[in-house]
Amino acid sequence: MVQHGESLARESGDASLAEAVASGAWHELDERMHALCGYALTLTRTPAAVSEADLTPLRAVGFDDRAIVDANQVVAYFNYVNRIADGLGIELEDSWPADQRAERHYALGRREFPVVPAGDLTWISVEQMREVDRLMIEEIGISLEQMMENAGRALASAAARMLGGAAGRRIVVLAGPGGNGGGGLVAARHLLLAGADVELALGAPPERFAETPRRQLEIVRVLGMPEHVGPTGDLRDPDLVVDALLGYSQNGAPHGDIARLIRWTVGRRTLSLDVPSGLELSTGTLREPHVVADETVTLALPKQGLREPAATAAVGRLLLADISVPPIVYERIGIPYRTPFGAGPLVEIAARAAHAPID
Amino acid sequence: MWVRTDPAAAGQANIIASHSLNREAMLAHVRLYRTIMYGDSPLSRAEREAIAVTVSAANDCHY
Repeated sequence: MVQHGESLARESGDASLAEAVASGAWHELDERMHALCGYALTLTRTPAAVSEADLTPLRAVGFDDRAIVDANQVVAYFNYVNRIADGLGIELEDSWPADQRAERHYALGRREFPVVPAGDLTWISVEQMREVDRLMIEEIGISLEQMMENAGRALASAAARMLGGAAGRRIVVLAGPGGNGGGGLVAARHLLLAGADVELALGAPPERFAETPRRQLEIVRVLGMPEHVGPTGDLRDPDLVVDALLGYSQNGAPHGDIARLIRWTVGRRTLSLDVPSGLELSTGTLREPHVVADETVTLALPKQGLREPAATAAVGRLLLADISVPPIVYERIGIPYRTPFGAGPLVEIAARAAHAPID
Repeated sequence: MWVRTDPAAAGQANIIASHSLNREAMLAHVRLYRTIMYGDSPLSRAEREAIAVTVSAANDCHY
């Protein structure tokens, strides 16, 4: 990182560029570099999930096959050379100043959430999740608002981790009119309070929002959060997009404002709540348009549709957030359950999730 | 963990010199590095370095 950060500063004539790249502040990059860094990050973090679709952003900004091969060589080479440096404990040459030589951790590389193997979890169906939600409210007495708060809080933590901290970051939260959007609005509030510069883009006119998300919308309005409805033209380019348009019940192809907002996410760093919008969880089918998330925070237990082969590239890195579902709820539905949240309320599901057998 | 045993390693970055115990691998590495990072390419030098920074940061590799 230090060696090539220096080279990048020299070659680009921009001393701050390396820091921007390493910290994920990619709105400062031109579209070519943005596409290259996106490809490099995906191929490094989730190599087994890379597919033809990951080349689309490169082609969209004009890279031909030769350029893509060259980019792939550089990504592969640096993964190789990083293993040499870590594997043999290589240190920077003595000629580097002491402050550069000090060990440092980079925002892109932060993995501060505990990892849970995919096989330790029961992957549940959409019907089972609907039943979990119903029992939580009707039998346990944990309200939708409480679950939404937990979901949104976890989502905000994941967003802050992706950005190496929320303070000063530019974030656009896409909120749909249902429960998923409500979670996004909670995250928008927490990120705002943590010092981020947050804007909202609504997937439906405010009067179409369901009661609980509507209350969340009222709160962020009181806090003065800027809000967009309709055309995407005046949305600024953020460091991160939070996708809370559609939740686990979504069926069929997105349309209208929601489809427009999904298309707007193409090529932008995106974090999805529960499921990327446009991924129909009941069947594991990617509808058009759909969000291709860098990370997805799913809730309670992972849903089966998230690990369908077609879906995994759109899901990206998969995190699981606690919304305080007691074991008795799972017991009632006949779902085997051992809490994965012993180490904390937000965990990462090991990358092999996509290939693990169904329990 | 490693030593510079080969004159060809003189003046090389630590990362390259680290495999001077396997001279052929070291020389092949240098050649690959020069080809992909400095050779003809539709990618600019800065673009290639940006990829290097992204990958190294994602791997949390300080070197």
